[in-house]
Order: sequence, then structure tokens, then C-alpha cells
Amino acid sequence: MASAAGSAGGAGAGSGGLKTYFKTPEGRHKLQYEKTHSPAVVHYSHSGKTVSQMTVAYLKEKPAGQGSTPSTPSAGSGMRSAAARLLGTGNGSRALSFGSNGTSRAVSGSSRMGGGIGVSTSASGSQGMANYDGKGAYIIFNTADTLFISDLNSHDKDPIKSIHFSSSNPLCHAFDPEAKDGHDLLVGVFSGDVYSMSLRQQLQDPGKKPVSYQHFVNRDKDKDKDPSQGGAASSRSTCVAWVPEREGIFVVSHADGNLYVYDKCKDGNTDWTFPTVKDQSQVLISHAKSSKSNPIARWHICQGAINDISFSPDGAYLATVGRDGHLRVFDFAKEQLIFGGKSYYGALLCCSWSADGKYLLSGGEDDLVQVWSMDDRKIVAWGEGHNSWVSAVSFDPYWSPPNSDETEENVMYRFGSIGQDTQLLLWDLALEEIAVPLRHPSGGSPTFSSGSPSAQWDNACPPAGVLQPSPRMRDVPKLSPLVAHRVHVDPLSGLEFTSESILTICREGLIKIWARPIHSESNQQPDSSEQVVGNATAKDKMLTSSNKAGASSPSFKQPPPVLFT
Amino acid sequence: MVMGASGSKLEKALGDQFPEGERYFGLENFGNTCYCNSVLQALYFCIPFREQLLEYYANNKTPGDAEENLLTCLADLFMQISQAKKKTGVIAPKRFVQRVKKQNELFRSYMHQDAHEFLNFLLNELVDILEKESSAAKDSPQSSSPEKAPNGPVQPLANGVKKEPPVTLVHKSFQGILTNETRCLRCETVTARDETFLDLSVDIEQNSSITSCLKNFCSTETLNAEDKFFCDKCCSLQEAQKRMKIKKAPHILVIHLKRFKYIEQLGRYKKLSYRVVFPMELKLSNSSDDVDTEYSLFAVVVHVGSGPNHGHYVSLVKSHNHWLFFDDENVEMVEEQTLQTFFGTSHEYSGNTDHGYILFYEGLGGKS
Repeated sequence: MASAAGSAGGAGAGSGGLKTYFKTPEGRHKLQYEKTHSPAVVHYSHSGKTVSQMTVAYLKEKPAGQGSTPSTPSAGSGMRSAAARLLGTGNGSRALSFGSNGTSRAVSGSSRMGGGIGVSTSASGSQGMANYDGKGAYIIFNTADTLFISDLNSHDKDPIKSIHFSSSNPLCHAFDPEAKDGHDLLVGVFSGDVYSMSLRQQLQDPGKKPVSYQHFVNRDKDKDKDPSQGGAASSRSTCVAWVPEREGIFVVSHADGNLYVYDKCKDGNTDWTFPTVKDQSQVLISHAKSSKSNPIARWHICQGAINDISFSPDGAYLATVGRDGHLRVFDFAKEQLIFGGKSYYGALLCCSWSADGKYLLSGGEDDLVQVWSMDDRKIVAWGEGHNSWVSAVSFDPYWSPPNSDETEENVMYRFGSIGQDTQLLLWDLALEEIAVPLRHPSGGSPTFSSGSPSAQWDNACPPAGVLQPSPRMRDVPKLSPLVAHRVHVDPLSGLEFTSESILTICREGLIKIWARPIHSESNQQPDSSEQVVGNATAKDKMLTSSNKAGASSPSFKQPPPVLFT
Repeated sequence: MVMGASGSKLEKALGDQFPEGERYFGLENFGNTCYCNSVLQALYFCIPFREQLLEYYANNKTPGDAEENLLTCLADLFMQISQAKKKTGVIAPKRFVQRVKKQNELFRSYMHQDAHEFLNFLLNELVDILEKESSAAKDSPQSSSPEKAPNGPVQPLANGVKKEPPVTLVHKSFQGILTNETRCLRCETVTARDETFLDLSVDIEQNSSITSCLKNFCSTETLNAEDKFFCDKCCSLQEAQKRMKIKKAPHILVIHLKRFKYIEQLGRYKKLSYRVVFPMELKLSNSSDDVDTEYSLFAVVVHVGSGPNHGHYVSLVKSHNHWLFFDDENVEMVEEQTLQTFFGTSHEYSGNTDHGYILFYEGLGGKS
């Protein structure tokens, strides 16, 4: 821990005014360490070309009787794998959201500098090859034309693996911890194609290129010569996701409003075509004519880009958010729209599910976080607090309410959001407090004291398959954030919750790992007096943050008067 | 009229998607007149304004005795573009530029000028001309109507009756009403004063959005300590809260980002390259209306350069679902995604110097 503290101190000094911790009722979240791409990439000015995204991948123990022999003989276990701590995955890993996408700022490949970054020395190149047959937790992130893999539990800032995509820049990626035959990592690229590969094999291989990959070619982009669709950039991949509980099936969303369903066991280079979409704003689901075709289906969902997709944890439902500002929730197996709604205004950029599948979050260009209820099939709350577009939203599956032992009826959730305002916000969602006014619209609720209730609230539950219009600002209950913390210098693009930390990534590819507060009794004992002071300060800070978040943008550049060591 | 190579390329790019009756013409630069060209393109593609101006000009133009002014020059230029035989090309706005320089000595030099100052000057000049012609048409006994700046307060007359200025086509498009509210914290009296505006100038912050900048524009400010408010009811200085509310939202919302800030230490203006994102759609809450006004972005005037006295202006314009990039004579089609490159930068000393400066949002007919 001493070395971590030293590292955090150094990072704090370099960050120019950004604090290296933030407080919640549970305690202090400290900046533990940072990850970024190798220094060679920094010299290659790629600013504004792609937005870095982050995926957390947990590799399980390789079964003894399976798996291919590594192409390169293993040099034996090195220091790196020895440093890796054992992490239980269980249900937690399945609840993690994958590869949340901010709006991609990819430009045409033809204008990109040829040859990429050339040969850059990998951080692990000079060392012996580590053995990646065992367990491990990794962070996968993309910058420019390279996919990087870092060890989540190592203090090294540099990635342990770089994979260079020479033909098209990687934009999004997803990992399936339950994959059975080895290919567990998906990478979507600017051209609209997708690659699947084995994360373990990439780690074992010393080269800079993907190995043993399967290439799924998107041929539909040839159909979209319509200049109003914007040409090549409109076919870029925006999000990739494995379908939970459906082995080998994955979906890819694109900037032209199309979503394709692929089977990873089928050939990825087949001839296929789908009917032309006549009305870009209507949902149109087409199935492949030939059984050999891959993708097996195309869903045209909205006009403009699909910015993010998210499956419910059981794989039954698929949520999409798009450029047209709509969230749409589909029954994936039945291929039917369950419900949908619109942002206050502007595009929606991200979405994710609660671990129990009952609620959805979305965020977008109106600076709001939307909370949607699957049971009610509509919006239940808006979160106000960001000062710019919301890039990622995620429930915290490892958080439990403080008094959860007392009663099960008092359901509470914790979720987080990050935005282009460089802020991480944490929110508490107590549904009983919010849901009551909506369930009794005829009552004397202050929400409806002015004017008559809108037609949409007269119905307790909208009918299935309907897209709800944008509500008025005064009609939706508002949430305020519990914590507002400026965590990066650059706008943020990704947020991940793990059992021991919160991970944030900015658009430029810097990752910060915030350690969760430690709850054990033995650690609390020596700091009891400091703990009291800490609580008081935390309370004042939270009030200040909450007030500032509502009134004006908070400024965290002033160092706190009391430093905790 | 010169048919440029870029024009034919644009027609090829659009193909049969070229909108019927539309014209895409670049404007020639006569030496640092890009501040003029970029604003003109944005105004030309403000369809309600263009249509009303051309209609007014057609109805009121009397050949022979018509006196040339900025309105006639602007209408002539718009007519030249809209009635051109070719779909694309380049036009020289010589008469218009000469008229601008003649009427305002500020623009006479060949120095780089501020596009927002030019926009303000142009709109106010048009208002003056239209009001004069309107009062002349009424054959009013008043020899001259009092000068009134559209962005100034609406002054009540001595007898308490407000003299409303005539509503010109400029007001129909661009005018909104702000309410300055001051609440005495002792007696809770609210003093309200209305103020008209043709555009909103908002302060900007690093890594923010237009939404939060507008929120800050309307945020509550406390008057206390040395800055107390004299309450007429309390007959003394009291603590008060002051805030701005939008009473009537304009049909065309023009937002000016205050990117040029005076630095006392340096004794000159500095450009703020802050990253301020702006969405394609926007909503404003009206204090007098129960519903929010919905807007759609149709034009952005972009400042290129590192300071107020050096640089260049270009504009991006949405026309029939296509986005076009106007760089003086050059016109080309761009993707909507390209607008994000003009948000600004998170790093103060990055190479990117193209920043959105004036945003034009058109109100959508229905209110949600």
C-alpha cells in the first residue's frame, strides 16, 4: 500500500489540480494507479480521431483437458502473473457493462497517415513471456489504430500487450467470460467489420498483430452509397456485444442505424445482402436468405447512428440508444419492440441495465441521466448534475444499501455516470421515493400541482411497442448526485465498476483506477479519530458538491485544507 | 459569376439528391471579409429570414426612386444567389461589402473583424431601415421615431404606456424577450424588467456544453455585502437574488459563445479554445409558456485561428438534411459528424484552432 500511495502522490502532482480521491458515505475512493498506452503512441498526434473505450475482461482458469498448445513455448511464470491476485467472478462479471461508447469522432480512413505508428517497442518485449494460462483480470482499451491490454492488478502504467490493426482503427470491443471454444474477444473497427479472437492467445503471442482471429466482413456498406448517409463513416461500428445465454451469437451496431446479428461459428466472409431500408426512421428486421450467410439477421433500428447497445443480464432484452434521441428496448428472441422513449432533447449516447434487469440508465446530449423502468415501461427519473454530454452510465453491482439487512422492500441502487465535463458522478436511486408520485397522478402530488397532468401520465403503463414522446422538464422527478468529482483533464468516455475499484477512462486513453474504501474492522481501528473528522468533512463536501452541481460547475482546483495521509 | 471546379464536384457529390430550387454559392473574399461571408451564408440559410426578406423586397421595391441601403444590398445579394441559373458557383458580394464599409467605419479597414459584431451591426441596421420605412408608410405625423436599440430595455413612457416598436421581419425571426428578476430577500418583493434580444451571448467554460452555459446564463446571482440591492419597498439596501429568465423564446435562436476574453495582465484579448459541445437539438424553457421550445441547429459560424485579430471565419450550414461547409469561395459537403471537430479543445496549446463561435438554432413549429 505504501508504494501505491507514493504512486498516487506522483500522479496527483502531475495531474495539475485534480484530486486523487473522492468521498462517498462508504469512505474514501483513492486513485490507486493509472494505465495508458505506451509512450511511443503519444508522439503520434492522433487527437480527435478515435475515442478510447475500455472493457474489463476476467480470464478464468483454463480447463486442463482443453485449449490449444501455445504457439510459442512458455518461458514459465514470471513476476507479472505472480503479482496477479485471484479475483472471484461469479455473477459479478456478467453484470458488467461492456464497451460503453461515447460518440465516435472517427474520420475517413483515406485521410489517415499511412503506415500507422511504425514499430513501437512493447513494454513487455524485453522481458520473458509470462504464462497466461491462469486466471487474471485485464483492461482492454483502444487508441488510434491499436488495441491495448493492461493487467488490471499490476501497478505498471504501460500495457502488457499491443495489437495493431493496420487496415482500420478499432473503435469498440467486448469480452465474453463464458465463451466455451476460445474466441471470447470482439473488436469492431471503423470500416464496419468485426474481428473475434481469443484473449488468451493474444496475450501469449509476442507479436503486434492479432493472431488466430476470425474476420467478419460487413458488405452492406456498399449499398449505402447515398450521400445523405455520409459515405464511409456511416458504416463504422459503434458497439459490439455478446448475447448473454446464447453461445457464439453477437451483435454489432453501426452509425447508419443498422444492427447485425452474427454467429461466430459461421464463416465471416460470405456473400450476403439485405433489402434496402426505404424509411430510415422505422424499425425493419430482415433475416438472411441463405443458411450460410453471416450475419444471420439485420435490424434497422433508427435514423442516424446507433450509439450504444446493452443486453439485459439474462439476454432476454436488448436496449439501444441512437442519434434520434430514442431509447428502444426489444425482446431479442421475439424480435419485438417492448417500449421506448425519447431524451429531453438531442442524441442519447449510452445505456446500461441494472443487475436485476428491472431498470435502465441512459445518458446523452441534454446533459441528463435518464432512469427507465421495465415494469412501468417509461422514464421514472432524470439525473441533473453533468455540465456536458453524458458518455457512460452504469449500475454498481457490488454496492449494497447500508441498511439492507433490515427490510427487503426498501430497494436502493447505486449507479455512476461520467461525461465530457470530465466528471464522475455517483447517484443513489431509492425507487420508493421516486415512484410514489407517478403511481398516483390524481393525488395532490406537487409534481402535478401546476396544470393538468399530461396525457402520457394518465396511463399507468404505456402499451407495449410504443415510443413515448419527450416529457416536459417539470413532469419528471429529478435526482441529484451523491458525489461529483472531476477525475480527468480530458473528457471521459468509459466507466467500469469492479469488486475492488471504479475505473474511468478519458477519450485520449488514460485509465484511472479508484480503489474502493476498505471496510475491515482492523483497518478502521487505528484511524478512528481521523474517521470522525473524515466523515464530517465528507458530509460538508457532499453538500457543497450537490449544491454546486445544481447551480454552477464545481471547481476542484483548490486543494483541501486538511490532507489525509 | 464564376463556375468553380469545386462547384461541379459538389453537384456530383449530391447527385440526384440536390434539393430542387436550392443554390449553393461561395462568396468571394475581398481581403479579410470572411467575417462577412460566413455570417451571410448563415443568414441565407435561415429560411424564414431569407423568404421574408425577399418577399418584402419584392413587394416594396420601387425602381427608380429607391434609395440604396444595406437592406437593398442584402436583398439583391440573396436574390442573386436564389435566382442564379447554375446550382453552384461563386458570387462576389462587392456592392454589399462596399455598403457595409460606407455605413460603418469600424469595418472600413482591411483588418480582421469580429463576426459577432458584424452580425449585430447588420441586424440592427436592418431593423432601423425597416422601422423607418414602416413609419414612413404609415404617414405618421411624427417626423422621426425615437432611436431604440433592440437589445436595450423596453422603456415605459411617462404616462406608463409602453410604446411598442413595430414588429419587423427581423424581430419576427430573431427577437426574444428576457426578464431580469430581482427578489429582495427581506420582503420577498420581485422586481421584473423585460429586455429584448436578437442573440444571446453566453460565457463559456472548459469541457462544458451549451446546455450548461445557458443554465449559467439564467442562474441565480446573490447581491450582498458591498453589492446590495436598493429595495423600493424596504426603502433601504437589502440582500437580493437576481436572475435572468427567458420570457419569450425567439423563432431563430442565435447563441454567441464568448470566446474572446480581455486579459488585464496582457492588455489585450485572448481566445478561449475551450471545448464546448453543442447538440443538434436544443430546448428552452419559456417562463410565460407552459411548454418548452424545441430547436434544431442549422448553422455554425466557426472562428479559425489563435486570436481575435488573426484568423479566418468559415460556416457550416444544414440544407435539406445535408451539411455544407462554406469557406469563402469553396463549398463542399461534409458529414454531420464533422461538426464535433469544432467543439474546441481540452488542451490549451493543441494544434486545433477551429472553434464554433456563433450557433444558429431554428425553432421547430410544434412545441413539445
